[in-house]
Amino acid sequence: MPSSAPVLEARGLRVGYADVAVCAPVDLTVAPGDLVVVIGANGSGKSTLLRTVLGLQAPLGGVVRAFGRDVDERERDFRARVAGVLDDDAFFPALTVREHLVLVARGHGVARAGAVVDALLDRFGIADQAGALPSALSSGQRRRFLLASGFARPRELLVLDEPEQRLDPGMRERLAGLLVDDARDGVAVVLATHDPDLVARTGARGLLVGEDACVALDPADAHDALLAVR
Amino acid sequence: MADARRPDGAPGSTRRAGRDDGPGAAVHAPRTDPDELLTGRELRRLTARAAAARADAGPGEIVVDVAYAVVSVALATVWVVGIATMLRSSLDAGAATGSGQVLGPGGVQALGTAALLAFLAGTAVRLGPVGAGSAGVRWWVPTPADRRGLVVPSFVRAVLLGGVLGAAGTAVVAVAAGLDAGPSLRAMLTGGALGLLLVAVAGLAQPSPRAAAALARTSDVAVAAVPVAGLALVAVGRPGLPPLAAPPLVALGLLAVAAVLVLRWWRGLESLGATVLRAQSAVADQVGGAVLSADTRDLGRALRQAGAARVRVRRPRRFGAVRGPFGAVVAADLVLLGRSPSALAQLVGLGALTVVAQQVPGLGSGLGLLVVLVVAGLGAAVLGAEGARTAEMAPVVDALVPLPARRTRLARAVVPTFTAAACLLAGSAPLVVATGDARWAALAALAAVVQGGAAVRSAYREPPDWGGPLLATPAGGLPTGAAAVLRKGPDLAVLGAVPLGVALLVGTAGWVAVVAQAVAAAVALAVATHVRRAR
Repeated sequence: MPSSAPVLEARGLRVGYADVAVCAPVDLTVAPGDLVVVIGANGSGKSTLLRTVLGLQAPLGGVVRAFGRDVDERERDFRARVAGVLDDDAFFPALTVREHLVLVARGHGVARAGAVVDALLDRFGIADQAGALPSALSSGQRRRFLLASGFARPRELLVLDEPEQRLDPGMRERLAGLLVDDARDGVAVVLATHDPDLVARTGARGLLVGEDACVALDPADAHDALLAVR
Repeated sequence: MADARRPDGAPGSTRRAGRDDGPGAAVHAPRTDPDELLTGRELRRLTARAAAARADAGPGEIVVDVAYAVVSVALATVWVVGIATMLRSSLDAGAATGSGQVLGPGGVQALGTAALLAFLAGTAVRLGPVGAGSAGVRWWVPTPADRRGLVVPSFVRAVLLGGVLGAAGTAVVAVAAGLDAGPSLRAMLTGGALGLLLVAVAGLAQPSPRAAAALARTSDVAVAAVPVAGLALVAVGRPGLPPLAAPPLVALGLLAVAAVLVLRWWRGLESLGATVLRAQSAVADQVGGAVLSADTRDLGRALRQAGAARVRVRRPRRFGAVRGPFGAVVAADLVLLGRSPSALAQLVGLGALTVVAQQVPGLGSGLGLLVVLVVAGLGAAVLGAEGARTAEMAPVVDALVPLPARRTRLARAVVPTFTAAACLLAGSAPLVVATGDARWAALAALAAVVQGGAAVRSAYREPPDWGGPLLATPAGGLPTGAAAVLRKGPDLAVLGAVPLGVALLVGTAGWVAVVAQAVAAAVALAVATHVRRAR
């Protein structure tokens, strides 16, 4: 569906719970191939913003659009184009790691889903756990597995919430490479993170969220802002 | 449409990619082939097939499981029919005495049916009624697969349960109220249609959290209003309502309305949001776990949270009059109770129940009245024990106040005692009026202390212990360790009410009974506030 509309657009977007905004209104435009990191202290509203962008939470005010239309995850087209990995690990207890990912790929109509998933398992370093049940994975392996689910399917916008959590340094580095590759392929990537190395490796521009203002930052400032938040 | 049985990459397959498909080649930007897209039903079935392939259950185990389920349902049916027959005998005996001050079978049927249907609607809206399970929400709901196909099993289950439980429950109430076979059958048809209709209303409310919470609250108030309505019937001199047995045309009309609502609900399944499904799956998981582990406390917690309205604090408390940590705990528990309109409504209902039950044959005196007072008193105390239950779940809450654990539990018992006293004093009022003896009120107040202690003991009990031996029962093996935990709380409520029970059985509230009840209250508090040493 070619369109000149940005992948993601927020104007005066207010996010929060029970009619109480958790951060200042957000203005943001994300084009294909853009990499944007959302930066802020704990409780500043990063995850709430991402959940709203994914349509998992209604905005309190303002506008949030994906591909020129109001965000509504009930629309199949939205679900087909937007991938999100948050920190919710629920699994089918009797399905293996590979079966989960193959079914995700097939649910999105990916041809040769098995091959796609096997390549992905290699990239995420969990090929040896392909036949394991999720309950048998370590915390870090489970995180890799969850992240892989975001890459096992077609996507034009990828939203990740603190993807570096529980990953070892090597995997963090590989993750940065995967994100950069995705951006080169034209995928817009929006992620919340506390990892300055991830910001430096991806060269992402930033969005600093706070109570008084949400500020757009260039890549160098994003890295510095993240160090300041720490 | 893709063939869901296609072997390529199908779940259960251990085939690995050939090196020509190797890393790097296929990772980036997988593309959607519209012909390969799966429907929700296909996704569900593939998941079920993969899980079944890994399950150890063979045909023998499946036959045993089915037989076990059939025997359990048969036993439950026999049990329910037995209770209905017993109630019927009770009502017949009461009617034979010719007292004009008792609720007649028609009144009992009307009130019982109203309570049953309100409870059914409340439970349905708290449980969803439809969902896809936690894993389904995490893995399948974000796919472009149709949502109807993902949630249809829970939809069918809800529709069937609504109709069957509405029909069966109404029939039991009708039989218990003394209706003949014909009217009972008509009541059953009407109940089935109403059950279906109410579940459909719950389904239509599900997409809107506000509407769902309002329906849950309304059902709570309706259940609580049933005893109040009973009191009103007695007060206006209309205790003997005619039996309710709607003509078949009315039942068919209700069924037609229910069918229209079910159809509308079915059409709306596709637009169920992920947030709604996620909330439903959280409740369903917690309820399922609580039922499987026979943890009634967790079950109550799950259902309460599911129906909890968003609390709007219009006037934050200043707690200016609170002195010391003991007072702070009591004040916090009082605020919790005061900010739960549903709990307050249930408290009014339980108080009215203790009064109206005395107008029902078989429940107006002796053992019947004791059962009513203990059940209602403990129920009222549990309404006031939200703070204790919260503290058990998050011990840091109790650790915030500088009090020994025993004193903290004593403080936690104050509000449950207060709510139990409100209920039991209401129940003692007819006895005081009838006998002119105020010692019934003293007995009720002291029994309330017992119920308050029982609620605290129940709130702080440890999780079920599954390590004990199994006790063979007609309904299957009973884990004695888990049963021992479940009895904590109710055991104190029953044993501590023995003096009140003796007084009810002999029909006199003597000073000996009052003193014995005071001793029982002191013992109950000592037991409820006992803290086991950490091993």
